[in-house]
Amino acid sequence: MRDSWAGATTFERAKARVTVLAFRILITVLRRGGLAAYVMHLCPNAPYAKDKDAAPSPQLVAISLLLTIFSRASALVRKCVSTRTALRLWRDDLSSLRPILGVLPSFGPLANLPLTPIEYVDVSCPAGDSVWFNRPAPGDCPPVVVMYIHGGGARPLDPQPAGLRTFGSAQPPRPRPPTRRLRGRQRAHV
Amino acid sequence: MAGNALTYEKFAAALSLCVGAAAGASAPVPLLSYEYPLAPEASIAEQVELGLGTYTWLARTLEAGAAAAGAASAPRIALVGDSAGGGIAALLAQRLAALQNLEEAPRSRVSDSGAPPPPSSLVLVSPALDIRADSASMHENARRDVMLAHSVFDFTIAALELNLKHTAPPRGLQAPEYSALHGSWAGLPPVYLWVAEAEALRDDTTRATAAIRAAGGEAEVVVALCAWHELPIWAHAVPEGAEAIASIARFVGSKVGQ
Repeated sequence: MRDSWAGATTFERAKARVTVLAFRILITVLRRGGLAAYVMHLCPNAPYAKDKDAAPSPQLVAISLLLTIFSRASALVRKCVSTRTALRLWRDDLSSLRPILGVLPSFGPLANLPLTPIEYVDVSCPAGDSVWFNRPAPGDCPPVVVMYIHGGGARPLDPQPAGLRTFGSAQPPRPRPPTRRLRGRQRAHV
Repeated sequence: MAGNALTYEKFAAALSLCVGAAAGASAPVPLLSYEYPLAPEASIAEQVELGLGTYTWLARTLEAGAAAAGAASAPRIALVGDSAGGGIAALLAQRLAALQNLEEAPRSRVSDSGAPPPPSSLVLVSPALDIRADSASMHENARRDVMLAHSVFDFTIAALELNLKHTAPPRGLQAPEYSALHGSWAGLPPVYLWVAEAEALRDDTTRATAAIRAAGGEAEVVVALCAWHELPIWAHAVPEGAEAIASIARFVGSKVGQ
């Protein structure tokens, strides 16, 4: 397996490690919900809304700030570490954003949402690992039944395949420039 | 990305609750959420095939249950998908329409050909309808989209292309079998589309809306301001998400009797 750190300078390694450390601290804070609580306290109402009826809710403002921090941190990590490392971080940490959904405080009519009964579908269903929400009992005839297909149809690749085409471009990604040490070796060969 | 049914359990539960209320039922309506294999182990075609098998199984199960209960007809099925699941749901609806041959024959609730009955409605929340799209919103909203960074598209496309090496589709990811946007939108049930104005996939929805209407179909679209990708899945925590899910439920409920 290719070593993504091969050829990196000491400064590059230090910069990446500091960034990853900062990122992991941020993730830990986010996971504990402390920052979310702080942001909601900080922004009890949308500061830019003139029409209060059309103003976004404080929950929306808070979570959008949270997501923005997440997004910027992700972009920063991608700039500072290799694609492979960034993908590993995404898989291990950023993908944990969605479970945060489960610990956020609930509001309004959907607070204390009943999640049960959940029943696993019998093996006759082509998709074996499926769940029912409010499965109809024998004799029930509800007006409609919802079939729901969740998001997230791909998993991160590790390692990322060589020659990967990147978003928005048909060209393969540019190779990393050789380090000074490698250039020195090349000069020695010349 | 890399989602599973339990990640979205609160959305599913909220949908079950709100559709039940909108459809006039005394209780939340049943909702089936299923797992499907992810890329690169599975292609989009395989994901749709599993969706078709699950839909057919569900329709037959409901028909058998209705017959056993002496009901005149089986419950209708509302098909809902979000993000990648929205793309699969759209492709599945197109497959069902093709099976029903709805482009030429009047819509019937039970097909003479033995194909499963069409869904009563199709709901697409922030759907990914063109995996290789280079549309304006992909670039305009590259920094505004707080949920889908470019890295997500990178590894999604990488996963799908890795799968293509083994399945060898004739026309790549832009083929109608992979990107619903390039497929036929004729004969589909009424479609409700929700998308955030600030997300990268915005134009997938707006282009699909135009295509549905051009094909003579019914499309109700909401382009939400001050929102992000898949906001409705945050319905339990964000009032705007709850409003979005209530709107979706009203649409689904209004199409049950049609």
